[in-house]
Amino acid sequence: MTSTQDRNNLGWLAPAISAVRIIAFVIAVALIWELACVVLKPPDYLLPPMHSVLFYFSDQWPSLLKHTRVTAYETLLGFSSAVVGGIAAAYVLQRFPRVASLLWPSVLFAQITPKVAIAPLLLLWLGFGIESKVLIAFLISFFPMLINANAGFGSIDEETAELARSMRVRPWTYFVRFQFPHALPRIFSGARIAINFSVVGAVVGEFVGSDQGLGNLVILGARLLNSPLMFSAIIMLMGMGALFFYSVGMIERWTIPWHVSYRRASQADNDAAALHDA
Amino acid sequence: MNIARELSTVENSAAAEHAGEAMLAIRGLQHRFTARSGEIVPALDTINLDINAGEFVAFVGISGCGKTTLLKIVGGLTTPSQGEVIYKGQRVTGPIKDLGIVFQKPVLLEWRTVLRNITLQLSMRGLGSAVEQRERAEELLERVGLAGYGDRYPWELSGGQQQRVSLCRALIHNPGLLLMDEPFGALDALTREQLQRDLERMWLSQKPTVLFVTHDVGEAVCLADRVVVLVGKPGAVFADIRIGVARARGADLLNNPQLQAYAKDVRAVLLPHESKADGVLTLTV
Repeated sequence: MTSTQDRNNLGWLAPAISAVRIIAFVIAVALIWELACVVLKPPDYLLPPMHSVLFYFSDQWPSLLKHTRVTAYETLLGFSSAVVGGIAAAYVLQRFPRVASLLWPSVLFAQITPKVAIAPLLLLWLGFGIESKVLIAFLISFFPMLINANAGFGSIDEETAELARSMRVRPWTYFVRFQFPHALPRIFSGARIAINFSVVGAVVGEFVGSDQGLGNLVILGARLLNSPLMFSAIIMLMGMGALFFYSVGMIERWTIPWHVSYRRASQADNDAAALHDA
Repeated sequence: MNIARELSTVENSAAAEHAGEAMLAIRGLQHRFTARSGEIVPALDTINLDINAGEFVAFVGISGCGKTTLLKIVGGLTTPSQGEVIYKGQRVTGPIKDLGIVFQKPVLLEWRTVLRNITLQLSMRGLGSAVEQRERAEELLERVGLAGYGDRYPWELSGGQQQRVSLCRALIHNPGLLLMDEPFGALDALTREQLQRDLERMWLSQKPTVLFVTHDVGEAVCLADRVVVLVGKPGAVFADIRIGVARARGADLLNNPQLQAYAKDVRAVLLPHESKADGVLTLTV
């Protein structure tokens, strides 16, 4: 009884505990950083002391936020079009096998093309605005979405397909009611990869050429030997990436609570309920 | 229940039109697979069978004699290489309309609750309102001893409970033909017996035609009106034994000498063929 309750209480506290752990880790890194600067005294342009980065960070907060908004916008636009596009493409590929055999070579060819290497070309074609960044973010995160959605759609077992056929389910209903929910765990695995890739894509696009965004600030900081600026932009990027990654996880948890990876918590709830009933 | 009645009156009138004929006729059925190597593997060899409405037919035989293939062909899920299946006077060319299936695995959708797994059958067929569907599913759950389990997820249930849910899903639309492919093969002995009793009771109240594939001679004898013995590769009908034991038998092989005698008969027919194959054959006498 007590052990189940403990587990249950722990279940409630778990997010708080992990938050505390993360904060403790960040503080530890900051302290080591500060200490290293005091002891080793590196030149400021190589490694500024932690406190001067923090000072710069809070001083430049409005401007940092403005640039973050640009990069976040590019990232999310690229990511969401990769999610929609990847799922749609996977649907077409598995629904029409003949089209698939025709298209797979070009899909693979597109994948082996290094997106980072063609970023300058895309900038040349699309200009220095956000379109080119969105496109790079999209291209770089499209493939993990496609591969995972495709694997998800294809991995439905034969009996389930036969069950659906015995109910005389139409192809589109089969997709919506059977294949898509079945593929959701895989789709979310793809989305977790894709969201990080999208940040990389947006930043690379900004590296190549832009006058705004966090990638632009990093490049600017390097050119001006303004290391507090670089570090501030990097910290913002990390915070943004963490927030996005965490959000995808939250949406996943909320969308597929039935999946194996989320069962233990509710199993503990059930155990508790059963004990309560008894 | 409304939906069930609607459906069953339609089916009964269809059946009445073809009075005098068997409800299900299998004529000169042959089937061959093409293996990945390109080799053609014969699976079924000229099956002829007549099955009446409401009859419970068990198919026993060594593994690989094409029992499962036969079920799929009858249900219209597989197209035979030769021959035909006539169901209610019509040649089967695709999945038949009032079909229910139970597999060896429960095959429940893990993202749906127990109740919504059962009502899936009705909503995919567009039968009944949401409330009617729910009521009927709850009624069935109660009959298999799972009242109150409707809001759980499949993984919260034991294997036997999951298979009961799968049975409810197969029966909720009052099917004319119920195909069962070794449905209790993966369960422990006690659970299996309990499910055999549940199945007999539900079959008696709804009376669908049942084709039941099993390895277990005891199970076949306990449940079926007829036991069809398939032998050989490709499989052919070797014997067709009528089990003349009164219902409800309650899956009680241990205390029923009549059933035991039939089980011995079936085994006697099967045994000479068993030694020729590496198939698994269990006999619970």
